[in-house]
Amino acid sequence: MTSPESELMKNGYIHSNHLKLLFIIILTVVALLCVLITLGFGVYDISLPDAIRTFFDHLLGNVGTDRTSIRNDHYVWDVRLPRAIGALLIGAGLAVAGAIMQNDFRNPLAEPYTMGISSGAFLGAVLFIVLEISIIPISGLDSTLINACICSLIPTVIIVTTAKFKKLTPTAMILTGVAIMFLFNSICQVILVSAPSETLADAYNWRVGTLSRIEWDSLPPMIIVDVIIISALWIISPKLDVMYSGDKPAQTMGVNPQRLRIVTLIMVSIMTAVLVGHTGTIGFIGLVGPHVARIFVGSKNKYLIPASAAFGAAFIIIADTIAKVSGVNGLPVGVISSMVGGPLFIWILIKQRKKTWM
Amino acid sequence: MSTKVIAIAVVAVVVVAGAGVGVYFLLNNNKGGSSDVVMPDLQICGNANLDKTIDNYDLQIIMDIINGDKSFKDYPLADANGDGEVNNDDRLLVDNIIERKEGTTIYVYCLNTSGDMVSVPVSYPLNNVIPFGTNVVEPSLYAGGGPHTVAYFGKSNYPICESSMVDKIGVTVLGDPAKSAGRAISDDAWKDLMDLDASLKAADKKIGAFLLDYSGREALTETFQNDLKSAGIPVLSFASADAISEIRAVLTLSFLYGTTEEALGLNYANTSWKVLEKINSTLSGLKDDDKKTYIAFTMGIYVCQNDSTFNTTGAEAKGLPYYKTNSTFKAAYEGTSSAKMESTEALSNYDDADFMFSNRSIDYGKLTPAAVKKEVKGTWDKKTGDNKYSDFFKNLDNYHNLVYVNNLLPGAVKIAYMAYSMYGADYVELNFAWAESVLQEFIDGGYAPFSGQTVTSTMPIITYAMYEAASA
Amino acid sequence: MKDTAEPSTKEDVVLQYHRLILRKLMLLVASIAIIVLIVGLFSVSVFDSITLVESYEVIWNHILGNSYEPRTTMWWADRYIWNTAIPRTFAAIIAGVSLAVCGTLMQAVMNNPLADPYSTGISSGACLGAVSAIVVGAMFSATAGEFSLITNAFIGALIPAILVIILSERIRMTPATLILIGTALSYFFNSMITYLMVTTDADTLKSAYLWQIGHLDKITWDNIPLMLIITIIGSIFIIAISNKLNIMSLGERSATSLGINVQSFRIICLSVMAIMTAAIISFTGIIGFVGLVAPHIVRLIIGSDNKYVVPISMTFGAMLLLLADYVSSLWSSMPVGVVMSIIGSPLFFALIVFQSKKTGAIY
Repeated sequence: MTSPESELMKNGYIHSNHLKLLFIIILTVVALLCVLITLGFGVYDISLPDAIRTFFDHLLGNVGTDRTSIRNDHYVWDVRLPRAIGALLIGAGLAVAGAIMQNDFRNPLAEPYTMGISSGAFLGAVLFIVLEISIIPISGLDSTLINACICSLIPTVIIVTTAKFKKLTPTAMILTGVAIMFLFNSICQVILVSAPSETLADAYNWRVGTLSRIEWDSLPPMIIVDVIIISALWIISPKLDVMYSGDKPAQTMGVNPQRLRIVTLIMVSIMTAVLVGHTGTIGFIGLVGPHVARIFVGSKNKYLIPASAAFGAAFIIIADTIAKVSGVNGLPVGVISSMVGGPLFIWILIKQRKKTWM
Repeated sequence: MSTKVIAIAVVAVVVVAGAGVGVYFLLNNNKGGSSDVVMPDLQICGNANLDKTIDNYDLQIIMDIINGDKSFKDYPLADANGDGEVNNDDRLLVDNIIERKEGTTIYVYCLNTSGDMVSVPVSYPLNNVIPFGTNVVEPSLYAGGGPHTVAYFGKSNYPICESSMVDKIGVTVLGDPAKSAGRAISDDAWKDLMDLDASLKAADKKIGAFLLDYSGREALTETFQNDLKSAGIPVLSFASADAISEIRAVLTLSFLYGTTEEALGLNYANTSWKVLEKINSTLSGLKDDDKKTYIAFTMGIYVCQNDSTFNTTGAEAKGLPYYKTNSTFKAAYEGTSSAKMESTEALSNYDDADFMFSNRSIDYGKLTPAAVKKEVKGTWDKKTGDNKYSDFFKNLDNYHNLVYVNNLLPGAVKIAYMAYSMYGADYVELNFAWAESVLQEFIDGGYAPFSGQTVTSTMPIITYAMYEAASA
Repeated sequence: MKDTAEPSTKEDVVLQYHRLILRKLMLLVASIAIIVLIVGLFSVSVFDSITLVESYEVIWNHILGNSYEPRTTMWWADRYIWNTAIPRTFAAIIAGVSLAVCGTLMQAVMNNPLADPYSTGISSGACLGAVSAIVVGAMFSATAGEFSLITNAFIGALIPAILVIILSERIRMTPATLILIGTALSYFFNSMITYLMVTTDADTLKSAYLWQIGHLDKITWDNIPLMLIITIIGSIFIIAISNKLNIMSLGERSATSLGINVQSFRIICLSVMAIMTAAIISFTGIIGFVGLVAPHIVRLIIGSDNKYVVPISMTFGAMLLLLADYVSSLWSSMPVGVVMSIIGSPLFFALIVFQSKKTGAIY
């Protein structure tokens, strides 16, 4: 079994860990640059230099008082900047989640939504959008968000509890996730087929996944989960590597693979739940992000986790920039990410067809 | 090795696909199309002079055609029985129509489901109708059709506006009474219709007509159409989502419902034309450059595309559709339906549009100030995702010119309120009091949907000022 | 399962064999009986005032050419039964047969119990075809609408199939690759569908959404012939090759050593399946689970000999879909696709939970 890493090294693309580090740094810089660039794109007509100037004006505290300046400031600082930061957070979070899932299940097709998180989140959202049921009925809270967060954790809870009582192989866990997904989807269908078209459209648009709803208020929870969970995962990355080598070898090396799997699954699920609650289920980045990162830095989690995060962030922010200027007045980023992600996925398949995973 | 197999497989798939499509095409060779035709006010064959009623003038024209003094070509509607020629039968029929003789077979000049104008025979006076689609239910009720309705589809979304139909004793709900019918007719609803017709047959009655909103015509599938045809149930279809077509539909239906209703309908049409004339005469000097521009919306955050019927309604109020002044907008919103605003930036470049008219169906009967207030705030701040409707508008220069217009109102009232919104400040003739007086005139006119309503309880418009007052 | 346990003596083998055959026959008979019963129930569900006997009387009279006085209850019942109930029942049977047999074929050819007729992306292609007809076609006349919808869906369904077949030349085509490509294609098609859906208005979105779910209530006699012909030809073909399917399930290497050109065989099977599935779903929309669950349940009961699994899953699939459609007609016109997924997803869940050892081992 040759890992992609060693093969790439043989091919002479990347010689040392320094190059891997460089790759991560470059992607991070690209992602951060894109934050500035994306400020100049959108439906509102403002040139890129103007947008960047507005951004620095606000940062330095000298916003003009004329109508144009105020409007510029509003669209750049209050609408586009949180959206851009949100793009970074969601891209990084989902890509890392995907990397961990693929590592946990040793399955190249695993992604953050494999355990049914997306269907749970959608069910939660539908419950509020169509039936106006709040799981935590406190006014002032965003019920769609709360519902989606809570419901998206249900599949994970079920799988983890089942795994506690019954020995579930990783594949059985995935299959259980798929089954729960089917179950949730059919409940959603029952609710949606009798919904009025306006509400159906709202629910559908929620599922596609868009960053347009992100405001400054949405960012703190996203930042907290992203930072804490990604760093925690990075810290335990050596153990993850051991687990990746297989359950038996892991046990001989003193790692309890099942427990580690469950702990990481829970972490990843919480992160995904919070992110998805804010944006809807943006597809593909969790699947494709880690694959691309793996091509460059190999599958050692010490590098894979930051590389996936950097690539994911850069990918989503670019996809969102494209999304903002496509169509009549912008498209949800979910459309773009899956349009780009589909062919990318096929390319990965062809590229990796000789590898053991295939 | 497998190249040959692949080639054969691909060819086989393509050939079978082609054959399948071909077979299907041969089995279902449909035709369609429409042509420009005359449009009378009263859409009834025999209305030779195309005015609001059938009277001796029409009879005179028919006799002139029979005598050869006038040409049938100039008066296509002189053919009262739709047989393609004008003769003594038409004269006798029009005689009967003028007498409003019960049991007369009247030919209604209306659309069929393919979009062609056809003559559909119904029995006078028209009774036991079944309307499908909000845009034909309301005109039928304004025409006094409530008591003439034998059944309707699904749960009524506007039970107060539609009370003359919903609360009628003995009216049948087709399909699930707890569920709005939406855009399709369910199998269950159709079975209920069959059941109803069988029971009417047993009582020696029948369904007078199936009223169809032309924009919802796809609900009436071929199977359903064949059923209606075999059972001899006529289908009357009107494009009544458009304000002018709506007036004609009310006039025509009221004529068919009987003499009392006919008087109502004539009044309705006259009041409506008067409103349009008033706007026309007041603003006759207005050039396109001086007209206020407007963007129309539906369902809160959907932009009505350029050729949507909601856009034409604003133009009847002498507004200028915004797409005519902005080519970017025009290119972006090509089409006849509507497009959802993806982000709160969507309108940011169209800041120079003077008005934003948002069409919204709001049920009547908001009798207390508190109910009005709740509706105002609820509409304005309705949530969609994390955003409110108002978030999409609030950064525009003309945010204060966002106006929600109640879609359930008679077309002329909608037009009046739009005209007031745009020109009330500059033209005293079109001020708020005038718009309110138009609505009051309709309320006083005795049309069933307005029974027990006032100018405030019908929620004709929701303006920014009302929202501010309600939020204070 | 018990039956597959090693028999100890010769008598045991014979006994077990007979028992197995008996079980197969019983299942077959039971399925057919239930089908007939449901057909009856269907027709009855027209009016409350019509009894089971009366509804068969209506059918009998129609066959004899007797007609009723127009607009009476019996006359309407006659119209409904002949123009709606019977085509719908036929469609349910044909679609059930076709989807189940395609599912069996797919699972055998792909050597993957989770494969179903939609695994190569056919459903998303059909869906894209239909949705583009609904969304773009919304601007054209009503008459063009239905026609363009069905042909669009049909052609759309075959695009991923053709792509998979062509790609199979470039890539070493293991079953896993095929399914992965199918998944990737469906992701791509789905993104186009999403694009169309989010840019259209709410009402059109709803029609498109409802189409996707799968329905049988708009089926007319005109739709039946194409579905029927393709299903009959395809089913005969699959029954004829069911022995080879057994060999395929032994694994690629064994199959090759037993004289099967695995690659070509797979492509032929895929083509047949694509056409069969396309012919169904372009009329009915994407009805899920029949193709996935029906073969599983049959295999659970009679074992995995494809000679029996193929024909019996056909009847079982027909019965399953018919049952779902019957429930859907009782449940205030809930689309059959929804009912099917409500029936199917717990079944699928149960299969996984109770077979987790087995499945874990296989997949």
